[in-house]
Amino acid sequence: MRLLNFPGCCCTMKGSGKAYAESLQSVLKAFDVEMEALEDWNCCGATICSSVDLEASLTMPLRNLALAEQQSGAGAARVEMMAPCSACFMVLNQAGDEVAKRTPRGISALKTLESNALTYAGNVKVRHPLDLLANDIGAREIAAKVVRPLHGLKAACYYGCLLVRPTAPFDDANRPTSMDRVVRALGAETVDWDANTRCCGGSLMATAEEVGLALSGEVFASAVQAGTDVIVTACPICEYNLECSQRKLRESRPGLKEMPAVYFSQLIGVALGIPGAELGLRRLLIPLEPALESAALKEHAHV
Amino acid sequence: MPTASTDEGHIASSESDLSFVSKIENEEGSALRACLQCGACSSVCPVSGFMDYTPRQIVGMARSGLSERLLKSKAIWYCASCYACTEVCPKKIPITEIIHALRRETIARKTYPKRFAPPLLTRSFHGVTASRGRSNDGLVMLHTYLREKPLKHLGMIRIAGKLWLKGRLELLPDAVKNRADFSRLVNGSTERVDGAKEVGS
Ligand code: SF4
Ligand code: SF4
Repeated sequence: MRLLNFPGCCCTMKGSGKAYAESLQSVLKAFDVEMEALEDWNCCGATICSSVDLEASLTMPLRNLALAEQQSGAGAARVEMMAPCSACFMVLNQAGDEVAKRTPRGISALKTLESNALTYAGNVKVRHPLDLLANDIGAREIAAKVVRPLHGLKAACYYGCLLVRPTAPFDDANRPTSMDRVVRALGAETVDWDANTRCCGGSLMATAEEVGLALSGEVFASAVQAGTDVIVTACPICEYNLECSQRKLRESRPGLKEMPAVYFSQLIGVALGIPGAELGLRRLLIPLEPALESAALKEHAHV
Repeated sequence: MPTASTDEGHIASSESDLSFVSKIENEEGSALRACLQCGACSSVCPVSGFMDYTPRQIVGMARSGLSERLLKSKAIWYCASCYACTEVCPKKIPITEIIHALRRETIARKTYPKRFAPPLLTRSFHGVTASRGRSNDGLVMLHTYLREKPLKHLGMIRIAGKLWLKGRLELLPDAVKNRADFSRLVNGSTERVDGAKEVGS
């Protein structure tokens, strides 16, 4: 099966979320899904452009939805397009909703598209890869492919904000479970922790560092308290931020334990026996292997 | 008119701009006036402790008429756009979008605090993406930091170097195929205050 993919600025082979792109490609391939990049895609505007120009914050994502229909050929009644970044996922969905609900600004943005020789009929369904793996492929099928069970590994599944807010298109906004189900299918244990949908402060780290650090600090404190070995993410901004902020946080909290923050797709890939090079493991600033090895040792001592 | 309904006291009419309330209400399709001032938004907001006005106060102040104080505040820029407030509001007030609307007004009027990085990054990001169609971390940061305090950010070089070694920092900016067409779509024929002309070229 071929699946259209909206990489967004981070999740390309050129972006900071390159490891996400690599691992998703390898993992989806194991389930016979080939990713096909949206041609000439543009930045969705993230949660930033709506603070400058309201109409641009709609025309930017809508152009991508229009291109997705175009690339899928005329007459395609329903087009599925994957968006791996939580921010892109939310923004593309939000723009699609404005059109679906025929809001005044949705209609006005469509007119702008039309005067620029683009049409959007409203047929694109934006999918997050976590939704795909947890709900379409499913835990059972994932478990059946596991060759290196992650027994003994305690994982904190981190959903962050924009995957489940303002609406949670495929999970429960307050008690999401999709990532937990996937990670448990790999043989790992998932911890019950209270920061799983708290904002990590990623968007503030470059500009208001003290605020950003306070937010990521709370995520770590909660993960540490739950006895976590690894934080599992589904967004390039969260992953990047949770890795990078640790060095800074340790300046004021010297005892803070180093904790890997990885993509859920990397963890699936490891359990499926896919070589680390195809999962972008070497791009991690805090390596995953030591956590896996010590978990395996602990598990061994138990048996 | 319920002017004194916020804790910030009575807002002098010379300070307020009631047309902004209807402007926001038009744009957001919601009645700001429905706010109960219950504070649920502030209680879940992860950054309210850092804000000079909490989300509840921001909503209260915005509906009492746009005050100078709100347009100069750091609070609206500390918002992480995490939508926790919006999700919890019993009156379904799109608080995050209201904060974005306030930011737009602030940028149009250039009233944001000087040499304060969040609005600078917002303008740089929009400028780069609206003109190239793609973001580039290096370009956005460069534009932001040059307008803020360049020397403050020398420490970034270390982490940037590390990321580059890991293949996670792209120095060559990307762009859509036809930048002129893209700019026309995004910036339209009307003049927009977006910084797109100043940056990203
Ligand atoms: S949660 Fe909603 S109703 Fe309550 S104070 Fe905030 S904006 Fe007003
Ligand atoms: S969207 Fe902004 S104001 Fe609302 S909870 Fe998040 S940080 Fe606070």
